[in-house]
Amino acid sequence: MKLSDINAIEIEKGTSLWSNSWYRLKQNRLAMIGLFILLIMVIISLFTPRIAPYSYEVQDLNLGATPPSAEHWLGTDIFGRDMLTRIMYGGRVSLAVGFLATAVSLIIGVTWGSVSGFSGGRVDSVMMRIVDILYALPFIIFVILLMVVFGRNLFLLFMAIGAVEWLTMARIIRGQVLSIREKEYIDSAIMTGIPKSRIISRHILPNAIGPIIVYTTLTIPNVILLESFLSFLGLGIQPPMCSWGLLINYGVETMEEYPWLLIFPGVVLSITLFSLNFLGDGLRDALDPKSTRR
Amino acid sequence: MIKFLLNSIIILVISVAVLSSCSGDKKTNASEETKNQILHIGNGTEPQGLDPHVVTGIPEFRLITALLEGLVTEDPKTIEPMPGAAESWTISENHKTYVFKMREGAKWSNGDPVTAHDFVYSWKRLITPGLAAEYAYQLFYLQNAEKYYKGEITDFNEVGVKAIDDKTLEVKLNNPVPFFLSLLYHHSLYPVHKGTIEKFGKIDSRVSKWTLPGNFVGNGPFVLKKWDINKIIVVEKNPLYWNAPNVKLEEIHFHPIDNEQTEERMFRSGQLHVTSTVPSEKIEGYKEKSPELINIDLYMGTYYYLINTTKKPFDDPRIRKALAMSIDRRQIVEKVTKGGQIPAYALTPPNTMGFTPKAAIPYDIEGAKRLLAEAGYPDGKGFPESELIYNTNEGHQKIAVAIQQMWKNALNINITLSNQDWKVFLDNQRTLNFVLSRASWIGDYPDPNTFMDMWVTNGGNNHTGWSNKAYDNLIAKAAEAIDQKERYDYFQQAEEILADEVPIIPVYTYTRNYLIRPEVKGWYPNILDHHPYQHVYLEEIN
Amino acid sequence: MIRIILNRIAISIPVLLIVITVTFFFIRLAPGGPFDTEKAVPPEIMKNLNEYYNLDKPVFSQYLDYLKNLIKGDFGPSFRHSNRTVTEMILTGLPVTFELGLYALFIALFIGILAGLSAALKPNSLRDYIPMSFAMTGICMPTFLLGPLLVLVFGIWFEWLPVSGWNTLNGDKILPSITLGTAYAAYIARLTRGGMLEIMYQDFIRTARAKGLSEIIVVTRHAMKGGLLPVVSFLGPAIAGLLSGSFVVETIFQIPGLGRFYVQAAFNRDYTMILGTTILYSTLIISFNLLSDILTTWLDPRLRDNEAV
Repeated sequence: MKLSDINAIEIEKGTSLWSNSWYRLKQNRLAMIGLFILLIMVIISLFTPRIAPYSYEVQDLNLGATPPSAEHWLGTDIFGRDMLTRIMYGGRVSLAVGFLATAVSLIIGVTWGSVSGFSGGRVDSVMMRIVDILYALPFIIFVILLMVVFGRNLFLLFMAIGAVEWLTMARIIRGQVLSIREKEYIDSAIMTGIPKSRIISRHILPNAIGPIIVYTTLTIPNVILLESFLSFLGLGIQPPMCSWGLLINYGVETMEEYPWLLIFPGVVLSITLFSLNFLGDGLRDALDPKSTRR
Repeated sequence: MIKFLLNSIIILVISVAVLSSCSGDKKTNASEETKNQILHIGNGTEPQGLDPHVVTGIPEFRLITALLEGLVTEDPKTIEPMPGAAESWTISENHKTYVFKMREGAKWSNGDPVTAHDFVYSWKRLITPGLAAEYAYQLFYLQNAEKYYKGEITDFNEVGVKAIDDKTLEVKLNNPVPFFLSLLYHHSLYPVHKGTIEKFGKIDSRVSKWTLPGNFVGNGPFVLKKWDINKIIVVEKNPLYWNAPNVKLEEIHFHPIDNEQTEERMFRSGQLHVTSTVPSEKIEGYKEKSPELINIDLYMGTYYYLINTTKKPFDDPRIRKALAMSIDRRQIVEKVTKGGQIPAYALTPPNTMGFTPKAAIPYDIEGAKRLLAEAGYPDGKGFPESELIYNTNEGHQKIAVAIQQMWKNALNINITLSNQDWKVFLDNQRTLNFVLSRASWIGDYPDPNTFMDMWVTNGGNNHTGWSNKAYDNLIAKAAEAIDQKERYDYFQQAEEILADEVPIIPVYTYTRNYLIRPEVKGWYPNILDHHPYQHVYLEEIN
Repeated sequence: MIRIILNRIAISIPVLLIVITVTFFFIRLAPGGPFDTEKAVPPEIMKNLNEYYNLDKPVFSQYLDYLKNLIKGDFGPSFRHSNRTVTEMILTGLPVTFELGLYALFIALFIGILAGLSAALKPNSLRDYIPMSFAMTGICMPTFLLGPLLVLVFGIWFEWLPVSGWNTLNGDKILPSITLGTAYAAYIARLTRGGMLEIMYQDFIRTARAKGLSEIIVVTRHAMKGGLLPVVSFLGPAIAGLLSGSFVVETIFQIPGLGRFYVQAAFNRDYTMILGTTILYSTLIISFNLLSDILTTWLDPRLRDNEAV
């Protein structure tokens, strides 16, 4: 019987795993704040082209960098561009990179790790050795090569970052799968002849979902930071487009002369990352079926 | 629980204390080092090496001038050639033969005398094909040097440099080269000690340990004491240098710092006497609050944009001119680079050894629009989106971003930006795999020719695909002329052609911006940024 | 157990070989060779340069030559620093990076485990929120932001600590280690908290408590072994990350470590240096992963008999 069937039988309003989890999540103040902030960020990013007060690229060299004022709530940068607008557009890019690259790494990593862990033996060995090889490849060269051959474009950035992040995901998922595999209910599932793919998707993964969610939320901020590291090297987003990472890179250089160029993007980035992290922690606590706390 | 936490904090504090005490001893402070005549210089990137015939960069040049000396040295204020390893010279009527008299008593750091044979050997090494020296072409002014380099002749005796005896060196040139003496200050023409080279390899061994501390033998004011990669290079006074009694510095420490923010912080906290640069956003602050700490010196170099004239529609000079006319260079130097640079409307920097180009590309947006319309793209309609490439660097990016906007505002055309890493960038430039590119040229020697002869047809540094017979002729005639007025006349005409055809868009003339403490004396600004260390010393300020 | 270890080591060798091969051909693909300079090099000179370094031979024969030398332990000369061998350069840079990584790891473990423990023992309380927030600053702030900020505050304003250097001035190892370590402290805190939480609610913990054991013993003797398991799994990637991610910190603080060499080599197309450091990193990564796996297996006996490890 599927869980939803159980819900349908409203003899007594029982609770499902999911609504239990939601209830628990709501208890976690920090996580809810994080969720709220994240939602706001996402909504702002989605509507940015409509609501941004200025253009992110039009310059006013005569104006130069000015502190926050009535016309420019968060000040202007050295080219006279409005910081509030730049931060909003930067958010679009950073969040997009974060979510998309993480999605890529999630799909590849979970598939790889669970197949590897569940199959065990030779298959597992080979698959993990491949992970080791890729791990040991010089990341910078790989990315430089990609950026150079295909040009520095956004889509490629997602792929490159996602392609690197999935490795850790796979390793960890595999570890989880290995542990869960030993449990008796898996043995009984195998004995009753349920096909492997169903076992993985129905029984193993839901139990591993805690770690999957946690590592995903660990990955998104990591990806955003990775993009800013690439910008540090000159390989990330190209001007006049901007990302939070790029804005912070610029801000660090002039942090004594024009502190607002660093503070605002820095605070926005930190708050977003904190939110993602707290949310991830909260989800982990909430979703773990074994967690009998409460 | 609380006890646990308390204990942990105690452990943390103890470990921090331990960590801090078990590192290094001396507190290097610029004012203390001043007392001991130890100069600390920020020297940009870690040098490629110290072999004068192999390396090509400016950080390397700065190091090598401490360790080796060429036939000439320079007056620290006027950069006029002065006797160095050669104590005097005579020049023939037709300016094609030079005879140098070597200095009496000049010695290598191991006691051997410096002779004319050393220079013959060293210049032979520079153009030995096997060494693959990138600056070998500097000697192509000598008779038969190019042929020897290409392997067309194998007897070095046929090349235009000969040691008449130990103390006399005769040099024969193909053309009169008015700047030949200044050229000799370039590190590729410095001597190397034959015994040392051959001890560690052959004359053309590129891979050799001869440049390591302990092995290096030089004839310069300092000797190499320590070389820790990415950390420090230390040179100390050479007692056998012919002018040692007048050299006041005891040691020079060259710090390889690639991050300009870090370098500025080190200067501020007293770890450096001189930096290699200043971050552009900090220039204003220094000019206002501590002008005695910052130097803004004119530099003989031009920052410009290359246009690939083989790619449509940039084969049309009207379009190239329109691009050049719509850049507000004043805004760039005042609001973007902020380093006192001078807007450049022609190629050669003003007052290069008395030469100032009269030709100029005007800043005229209306005129630019008209030209663009004439060329078939009124108001930018239909103009293809084109890419501007630059090598990864904050400064280049800022300029490119500003100019991108200027072109959009003035001409309504879309230019995209692409930053590339250095090797890729150079490769693309060389293979003409670009449309627009950023570039710069610092003069190799003080003469307008170093800028002018780049743009001849198929010139090795002519990355534009541009070819103009009239221009080639002018440059060739200038090479034959002896009279400076005549030469400069030809150059003026050449600049006219450049301003008309615009294969390159000059943007600004360089300045050298760096920080320097008032304790540093004997350091004079000049357009080539040459500061011979034998004249530099430190004096305490009260 | 021993058999498993030997097995893993045996497999590592072909892995290394593949890494070497892939890297070798990969970097040849990247445009721009090691000898491109701004002042154009006449074609004859380029020819000589390429000949000198055997770059004109077919790539495959260069590859075989490289392998032959490798077996002799010769990584070749650095293309860029022509008077030093790759081995020399690695030997100067590696100890520095290693030391930096070690201190950073201590700081990360210290802050991370403390914060995670405190949080796990009383979840959703202030004892959870405060230490965790503190630990998280590491991943909510890029190192190239944290570093200069710390330098500004402690080096320039207060003048307590040096702004750069390694082993030249007193106390110059503190700021870089903290900067590098805080990033990993966050991960470790989170993993500790997660791992401990999972364990703390298991039956055997309840049993231990029911037996009347003090909380400290329950936590340290019974819970930590299993609770810190995720941290142990993470150590492998953590150390790998510390070693190769130290580049930013090394640049900001002027530390002559391997990270800087490595990135410089990449941008300079210093083929031999790139290969040498890649081989080194690969060996280290493979070794640490192996160690990490061994520790994990040892700590979780259920995995011991599993051949898959």
